[in-house]
Amino acid sequence: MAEHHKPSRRQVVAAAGLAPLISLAPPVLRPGAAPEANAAAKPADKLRFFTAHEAAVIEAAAARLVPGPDDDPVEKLLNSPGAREAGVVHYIDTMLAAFDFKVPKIFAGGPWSDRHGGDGDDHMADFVPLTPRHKAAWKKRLPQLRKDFRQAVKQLDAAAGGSFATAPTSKQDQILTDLGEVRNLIFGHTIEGMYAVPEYGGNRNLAGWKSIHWPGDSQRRGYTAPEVESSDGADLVLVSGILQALLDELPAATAKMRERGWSRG
Amino acid sequence: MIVGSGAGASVAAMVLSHNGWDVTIFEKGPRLIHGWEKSGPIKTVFSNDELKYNRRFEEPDPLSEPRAFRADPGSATSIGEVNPLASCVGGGTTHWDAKTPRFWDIDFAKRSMLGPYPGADVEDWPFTYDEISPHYRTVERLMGVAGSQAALPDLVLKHAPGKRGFVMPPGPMQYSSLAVASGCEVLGLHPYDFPMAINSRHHDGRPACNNCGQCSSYGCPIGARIGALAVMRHAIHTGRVEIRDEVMVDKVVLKGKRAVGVHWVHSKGHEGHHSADLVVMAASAIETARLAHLSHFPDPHDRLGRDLMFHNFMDGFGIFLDRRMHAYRGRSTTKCMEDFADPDFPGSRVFAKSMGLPYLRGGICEIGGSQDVIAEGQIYQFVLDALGSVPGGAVKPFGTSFKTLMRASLLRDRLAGISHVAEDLPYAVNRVDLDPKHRDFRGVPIPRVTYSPGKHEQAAILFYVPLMTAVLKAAGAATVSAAVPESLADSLTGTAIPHGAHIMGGMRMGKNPKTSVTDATGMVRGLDNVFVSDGSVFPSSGAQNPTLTIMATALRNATKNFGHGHAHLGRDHGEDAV
Repeated sequence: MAEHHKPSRRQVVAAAGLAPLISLAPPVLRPGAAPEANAAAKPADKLRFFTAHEAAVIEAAAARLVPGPDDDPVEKLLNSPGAREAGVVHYIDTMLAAFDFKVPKIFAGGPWSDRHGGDGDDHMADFVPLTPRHKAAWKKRLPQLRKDFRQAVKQLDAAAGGSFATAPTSKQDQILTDLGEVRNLIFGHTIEGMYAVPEYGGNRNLAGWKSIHWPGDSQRRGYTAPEVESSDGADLVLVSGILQALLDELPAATAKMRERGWSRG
Repeated sequence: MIVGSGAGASVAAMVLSHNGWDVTIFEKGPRLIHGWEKSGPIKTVFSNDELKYNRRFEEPDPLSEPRAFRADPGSATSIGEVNPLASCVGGGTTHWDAKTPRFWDIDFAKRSMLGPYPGADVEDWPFTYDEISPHYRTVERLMGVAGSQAALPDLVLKHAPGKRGFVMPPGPMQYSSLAVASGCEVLGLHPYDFPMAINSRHHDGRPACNNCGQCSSYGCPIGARIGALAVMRHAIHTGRVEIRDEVMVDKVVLKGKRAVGVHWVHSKGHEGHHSADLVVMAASAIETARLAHLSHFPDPHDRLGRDLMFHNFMDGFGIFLDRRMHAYRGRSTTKCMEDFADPDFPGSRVFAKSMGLPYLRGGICEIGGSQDVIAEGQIYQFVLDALGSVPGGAVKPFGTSFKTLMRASLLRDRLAGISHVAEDLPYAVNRVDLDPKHRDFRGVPIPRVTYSPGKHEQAAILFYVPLMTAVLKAAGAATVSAAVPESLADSLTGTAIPHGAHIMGGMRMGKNPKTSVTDATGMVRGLDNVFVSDGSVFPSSGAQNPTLTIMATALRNATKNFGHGHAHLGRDHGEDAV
């Protein structure tokens, strides 16, 4: 529960900003890679919790935290989708309004989606009714989160001296750098909205998974024995900048992983 | 009646129902797998969904069912998540990674084989390895363990001899496991195929695992792994067993020395009494000790809830800069290595002596595996936050920095791990009792865990962490590695709460009435008809994953107490050929 404790401090290498990921090997077409996203246009999105202004502020903040092609020149170069493209604000809005749905949108269903075969039905889209223990917990958790997000928007606007959503990106970055608690609230949920299964409302067109070349859920297909046992081939990464900074912080990072129960998958 | 429906409960239900008892099982969690009672495909809402797991789909939520924790009786108490286990029909075995190593001969006879341990309550178990060995084999067969007898190293067979009940060969090995296992071999260690109760072929009416990769801590979407429910099925087949889900037992009702029944509370609030001739407690170690306290069991020697043990977890992380490890494919951690469980591991006796200790012991290492994507992202968020808050630091703690980290994936796709499940000695001060103030959403007082690692555990960390790093270094030239014990994780991040999911002790069994809560067969001392059938009876923690030993112990004890009517189940019909 101690989400904001800091690891041991250390001097950080300077100029750790734009560390490129340089893959020295040619791109490999990975077996089991994510299928092409369905090209369906973005559905008309009804906001259930946020006002239009609040949604604009959260979307703007999320796009600074996890930028896409329209938000950052490096991402444009790589054509790598970010929070805006993944519809993260709708993930957050859906979570905060979970109890507005007949079956609260807390736990997506199973046993599989329709992305890798299966029986043609996306069972993940049928959310699982809450048991009393989870209802009791989320009836406590969500009101607090709703308050926190509403407050976060107010703080962002106040710092921007107007609407955060329309402030220059350099100013938005400065505000997000300064307001650590607000940043971490939005960032943690933005990461969920990027990489969770799309049934929760984010990761649209599998934008989050595509941005990291990860196939996501794999049932009913799974993987073949050679895909499990063999290397995909050489894939060198040049460690500099932010990657070097991460390795310098490895003791703290791995300690945090241990605390969170890292070993899964 | 039986409290709980997991590993220990399934065995108790099978034995009792096959010996003429009518059994009612009370499970406080929901049913999340359906159709397992019959041979055929199962139905479940478990899925490849990390967020669902992070939101504790199959676990208690700390906002409605918290636990209390303090490092020692003088420390402040925190309320929140303390070592939760899956809480649903099937218990922890619905989402475990199904690893089934056996404990060693020295685990059952620690005092007589290794001598006393100053400061710790080291005693022999009331039975030997040789006595439990056939029960191990029965449980392996009943659950359907995949493994290779030929692959078992000499060291393992020396301390845990005999033919295993492997009913099918191992499945595909994770690439990350193979890579780290090669590092073990370079150092002369002995990795082997981790025995696990996951189908490598169609078996028991259930399909072969298709390597979907979201395995450990996830419920199996296809029923290739159903854990204790494979045993519970034999109980259901008698027609004498009923499972009531969403019902928590909050009191065993005593009349003198007899339990006459239980008081229960439904999750929706209604409550009632259930009469019983026999009460079996199998709710897992912390919850069973909680129930014993709630029921005011006799405790003349102040042993109830004491000698609580977790494992002394240490984790190693190897980062491969020249390739991706794709640990998101296949069963998790398909190799293991038991060399560190040997108290005679080269150098360890000398090191222990230098620390003023009789000996020290690590445990089994789970080899390979990594973390998931959302977890990875939130770790980078944490690191960026730390970097960005350095005065004068040049890192913007978000944006393309974050995406660069995700694309390079040093802490997921390029990571291969080692989880070291090291022995945790029993200490009386480590215990479960009731928190004096807080209650769960049902209104039942919550358990309070008091726990700190002892001198043995700290010495084992000092000795074994560098060895784990060396293994990872040996696994690849372009490798960066780090290893971290749970207790260091605690000191860096400001908490001291164990998270390992291996929970043992509290209702310790033994021959000596002054030092045990249950007798040599798991019956509660001072009461006529209360049987304990979970990991709470363990007198020591062993140095291996505990579930198989929980079940084999339950089988040995239940057979002694209730008869042999189930003896035809899990027999070897000559087809153990692997």
